[in-house]
Amino acid sequence: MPQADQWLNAQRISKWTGLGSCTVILVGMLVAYFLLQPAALSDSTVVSLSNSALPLVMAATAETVVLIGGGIDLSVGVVMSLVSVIVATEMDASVGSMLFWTVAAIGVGCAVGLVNGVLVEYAHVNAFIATLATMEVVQGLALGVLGSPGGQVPAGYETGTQGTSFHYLPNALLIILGVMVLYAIARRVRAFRWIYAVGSDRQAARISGIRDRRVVIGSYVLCGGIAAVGGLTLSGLLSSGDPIEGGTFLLPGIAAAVIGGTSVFGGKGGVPGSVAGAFILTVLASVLFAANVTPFYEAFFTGLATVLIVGIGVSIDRYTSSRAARWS
Amino acid sequence: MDNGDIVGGASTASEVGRQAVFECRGISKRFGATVAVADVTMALYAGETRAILGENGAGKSTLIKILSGVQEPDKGSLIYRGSEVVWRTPLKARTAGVAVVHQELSLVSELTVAENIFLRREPRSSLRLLSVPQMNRMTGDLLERLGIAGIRPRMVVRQLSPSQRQVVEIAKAVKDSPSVLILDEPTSTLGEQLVAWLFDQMGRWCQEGVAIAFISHRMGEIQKIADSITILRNGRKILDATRGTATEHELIAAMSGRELEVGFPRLSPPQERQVLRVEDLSGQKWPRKVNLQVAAGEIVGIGGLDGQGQRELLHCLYGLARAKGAITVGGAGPMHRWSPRRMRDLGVGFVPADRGREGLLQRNSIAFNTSLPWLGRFSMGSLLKRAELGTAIDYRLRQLSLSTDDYSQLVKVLSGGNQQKVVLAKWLLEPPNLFVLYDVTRGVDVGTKLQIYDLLARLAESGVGILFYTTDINELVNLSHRVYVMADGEVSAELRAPDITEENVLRAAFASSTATAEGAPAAGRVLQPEGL
Repeated sequence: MPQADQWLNAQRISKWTGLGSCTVILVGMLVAYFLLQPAALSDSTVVSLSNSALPLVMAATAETVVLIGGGIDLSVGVVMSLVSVIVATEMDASVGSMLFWTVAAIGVGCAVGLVNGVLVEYAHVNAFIATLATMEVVQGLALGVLGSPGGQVPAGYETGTQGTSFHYLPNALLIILGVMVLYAIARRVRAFRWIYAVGSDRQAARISGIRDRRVVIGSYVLCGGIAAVGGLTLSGLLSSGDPIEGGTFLLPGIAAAVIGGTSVFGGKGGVPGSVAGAFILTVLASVLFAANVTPFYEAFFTGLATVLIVGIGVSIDRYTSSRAARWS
Repeated sequence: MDNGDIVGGASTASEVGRQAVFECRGISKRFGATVAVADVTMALYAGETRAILGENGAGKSTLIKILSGVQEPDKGSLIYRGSEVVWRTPLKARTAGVAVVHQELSLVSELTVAENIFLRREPRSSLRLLSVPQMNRMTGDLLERLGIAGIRPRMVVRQLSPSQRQVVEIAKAVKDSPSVLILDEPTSTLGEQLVAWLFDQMGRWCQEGVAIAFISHRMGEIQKIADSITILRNGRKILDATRGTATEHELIAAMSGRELEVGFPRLSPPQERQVLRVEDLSGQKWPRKVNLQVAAGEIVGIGGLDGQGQRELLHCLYGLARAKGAITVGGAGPMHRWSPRRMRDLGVGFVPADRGREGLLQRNSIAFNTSLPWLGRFSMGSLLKRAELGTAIDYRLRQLSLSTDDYSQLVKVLSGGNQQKVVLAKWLLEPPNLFVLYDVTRGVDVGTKLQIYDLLARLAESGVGILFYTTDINELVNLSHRVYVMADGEVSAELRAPDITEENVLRAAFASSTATAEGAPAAGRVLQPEGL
């Protein structure tokens, strides 16, 4: 049955479109970067790249979960800000305090996610509007806690994010690897799969006995929790709290997820793609800097690159599925 | 079971002395003003296949949704294994042993075959994590046990053909060896070989003592596979029969019934001049190489079972879906490319299937909706000639005797019949050359129906060509100069005046669908069940 084999091929291509093309692009950009600036080929560059990628990775990961479930969350960035100012003002160097505030911060993130989820599923507020509203509210809270950048995080947090382990391996990179490992485990948790099912075909999922509303709410809660972890890493990297900085990761976070192959229509995508997407955006900024592009044009090229990469991914996807359709 | 509507021999031999596995008693369900199911009582017995028959909208799908816990009945009770049950959720019914192969498939397109088959019932290891290899292996075993080759557990459902999806859907339903299996039109998407495969499996499941309910439109299949037959019409049970007690003719008669006589207008003979000529029109899947003509003043009906490509045909015709072929409208053409805008400019009016979404802007006023295709004609430069437009709208809507005089009212507050009038008015502000209508009287009360019939007859008399699809066979038979019957995306028969009878239309529709089932293998050839 040759045609069945062709199906299988088509499916493989499209399944890995996001991640595959991302990896190729990422490697290409790294090569370009080090060709433009051979001097940059040092472990301090690896550390700085990882450090600047980390908060974006966390924002993208959080967003990915919600996008897969068919929603969108605009409060991801401000949750990171809120967590960072809470940690910078409340946490002291004792183990007890660090433990308590870490858990509390994640709890705050989950709570914001819960509010989002309930608004979307039970109050029937459109996800875009609901999370836009919570974004404003949470931004206000963050500014209320700390009006301007400041505060102090315990030294453990700083070295945890900025330092290195095992011979120059940046801790930021280890955290990112940890996220990927957790994702690999999550792929094998039933409820996590249901997020894909609900995001892809809600009615079909419901007929299969999945409690779709709870699953969607769960995706928002998980997103909030991950965003909170992102806030923790942000304050570690900044060594302090910042009520605004987190918000700057929202749109790049969504862009990174989409670059990585996550569909804004739900049901499709994954964390590895989003991590690759986040790295692409980070490395791109460095490449543009190395190529002496005026910072004014940085946003211009970032936007161009996003459209290009996503466009290529979508085209490959359409091509493979139209081939599959022709066989049917 | 005092049901006044039962016509045929009521009790079957098997109903005596044996206890039903699954039974529904006096089930009723209404949606708003429409009664979907009224007082239906039916029993399923172990090892028996019961066919449920009925025309479109007879209540079959609603009944199945109630039996499987997707919807709750307004009245009546379900008795499963001797005791009354209330499902509340589909999951409850499924865990109890009532499995359904749904018509709108319950497969998630972005997940793999294995993930879909185990959805919500994923096997978990001691760490509460699921093992994908194990899931794939179990799915592989299941598919092998069912004799399915060509579908692999890792394939993503999105990329399966419709017939392959149907097979996966069936596999999903029988995975946990249910005691009741309900199949909602499973054969409509299966090719000939797969239908044979399914019947083979159904025979096996029956031997294992599964009670099967089976919905199909294909007479041949039903005679072959069903032990007993239940016929629904307008939500009511009309007939209960065992195999061989009713002829095909009787079954068709019971299904279509004799509706209360609706007065149809007399049609005047059509003119010679052609207003539409369609040559070899093909869409992505449907239609397939359709040829048809409509003359000025001619009313041409399109019939056939629901979902045989009629909707696709009209969409392709109006330029809403990509199509190959040639179209001549009036003097223009033959065209090989056309768009809705071009069709409108050539004087083609189009009433779409879903008036709620495709035909009207629900949150805008009656007048605004009516004006929409005409803004160009009633303007000077880019400024709208409001007064003239207003007069034209007023005139047309008054002719259609809308329930309200206030044309600034929002469309969404109108009843179905009145909404349909607005859709019609929208295209009649200036008389079209050709009027294409999709099931224009669906969900419309009898009074409005008559008005619409008269309107169409008058339009035809004035020289407008009319091409309409309808699910109401009475309408098709009594309102058409000519009828094209469609099956599987093709025109299977063309009927002219003396031959346009209900029986001929139904026969053409059914005969052709059995022909497809037994003729050349249809889509999904890739899948070849073993042992055939």
